[in-house]
Amino acid sequence: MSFPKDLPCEAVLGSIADGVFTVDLEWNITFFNEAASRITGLPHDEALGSKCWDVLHSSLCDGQCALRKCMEGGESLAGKSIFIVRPDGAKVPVSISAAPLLDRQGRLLGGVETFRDLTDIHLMRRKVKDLYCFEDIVGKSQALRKIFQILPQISRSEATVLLLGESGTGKELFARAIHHLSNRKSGPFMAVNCGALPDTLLESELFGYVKGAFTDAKQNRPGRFQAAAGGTVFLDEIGDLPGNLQVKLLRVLQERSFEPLGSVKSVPTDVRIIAATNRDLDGLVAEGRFRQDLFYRLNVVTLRLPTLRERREDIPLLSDHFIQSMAAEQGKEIEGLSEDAMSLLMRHDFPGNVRELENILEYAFILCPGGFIQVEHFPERLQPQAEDREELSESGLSLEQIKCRAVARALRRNKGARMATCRELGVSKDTLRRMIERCPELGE
Amino acid sequence: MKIGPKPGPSGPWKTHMLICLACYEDRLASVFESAPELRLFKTGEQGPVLAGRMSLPPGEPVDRVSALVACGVQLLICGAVCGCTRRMLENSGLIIHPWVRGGVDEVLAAFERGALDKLSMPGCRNRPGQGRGRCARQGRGGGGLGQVRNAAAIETDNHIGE
Repeated sequence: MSFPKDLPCEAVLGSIADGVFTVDLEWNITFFNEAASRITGLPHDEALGSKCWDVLHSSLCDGQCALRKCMEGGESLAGKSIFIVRPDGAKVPVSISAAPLLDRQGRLLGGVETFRDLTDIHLMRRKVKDLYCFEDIVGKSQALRKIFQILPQISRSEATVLLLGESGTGKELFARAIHHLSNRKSGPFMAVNCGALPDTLLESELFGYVKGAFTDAKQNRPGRFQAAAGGTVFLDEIGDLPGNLQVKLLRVLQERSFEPLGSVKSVPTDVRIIAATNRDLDGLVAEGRFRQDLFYRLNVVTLRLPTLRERREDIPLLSDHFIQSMAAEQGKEIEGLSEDAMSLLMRHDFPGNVRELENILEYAFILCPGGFIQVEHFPERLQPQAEDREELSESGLSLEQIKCRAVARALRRNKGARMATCRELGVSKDTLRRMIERCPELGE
Repeated sequence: MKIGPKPGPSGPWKTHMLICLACYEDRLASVFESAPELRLFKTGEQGPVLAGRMSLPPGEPVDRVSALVACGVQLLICGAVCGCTRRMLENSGLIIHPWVRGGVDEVLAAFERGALDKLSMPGCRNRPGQGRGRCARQGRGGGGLGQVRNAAAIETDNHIGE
């Protein structure tokens, strides 16, 4: 049975569940099916004849147009994940495919793009992720769970919060989470790195200045404490705050007012302050380099963020999270980490904490062509020496040890799911239970 | 800085303010969050004058909002914008005129005439009474002139307490 020759092309395209539109060489929409109307929220009549970028509002429309690439390069593109913005302001994730449209003589007539609404898939993914996510913080370790439990109460209070933790532990992420969970969430969140600016610049940045305060002050400029009214100011690297600004900050905390640079008039401020440092504030106070009264004012609620070394069990979860984000951003098909690569990460000390893990994976993402990230895709400093490589392999181990190791890896791959592990290893659940009991490294 | 409409019969463009157009090449960018360039224009007696350009990599909308606030922008004209970014912009005190399409010159001319609604993106025309976050205007009138007056009023109000 052959395909009917006189079938109207529009009827076929109109019946497709995915959005389909075509454009001419001037980027005017020449066809827009019903599904496209449903996904974009735009009536068919209004879309026809309009420029495609005025209809689709996608993240690629301003300089990275997939359709343009296809039409100029003469090639098709499939399954690229992007988002579009509907007229109601909703951001809709879609997967697009594009191809050039040619006539029978091979002359370019325009282009065709199909797009699939990924909202449901994203919602399902998010539900799974939400089990181990709090705001944008990923982790299931005991250390983090304790913080997750108290974070909502801390956020709802108006108390000043001091975040302590090594570099890369996510202090700004926690500060943003506190802001988003607070009653000030609709106000601005302003982050200032106290260690990144020279003293005078930092003072004008925080407190603003009035016209004539210094040579170039040609007009009043509000500082962060004024601009963030009704919101939160995050002062990172508070341990680096110079002495004169410590006094001014103390006044903001005590009296909720300050004087802009060059002014004698007090300006009231309505901001919540979250401060963070990776330095030993107690030590700085003892050395006389940080004011004791300011320290006590800041130290109302203190959260000590755990290092990645203290929550190694989060490494697989964090790795998955970063790999998924990078894959979505870069459109690269990376499945995950190979066993050796994961094993190496689990043994690494991560002095740079989560930021270091993210950087390592970003580096690996560049070198890995696809599939699973291997040890050789990691930066040189992480590459194991020859003797370490031997240790990673199975040589020198007894049969029992190799079995234990295989069970441990299969359990890790299946995220602790025993039935899935049984299926992978081809053993019964009783055999697996006995193995788990026998193997000391499995901890039971 | 005292900002407000000057008296006299000379029209709305006698108001001094800083407006921003989220652009891609010589047209308004399709989406504010991915607009590669923000162009700043100073308005006044001579009409809009280019006051600066900011090239921004695609990133967190909060960074874009902070950049606009830091530059002292009072009004933003852009294409599509997500509801959450729009709320963030409005909460920062900016007046926003979203869901506009067209070339930069065309948009500035329409703004000068108070006729930005004529450049509404498809799907945003003739939709009176749409709620917050919807592409329709939020009861601020026909765009352009009304927005300028609102901006001036807000700016003037801000200075009352000083």
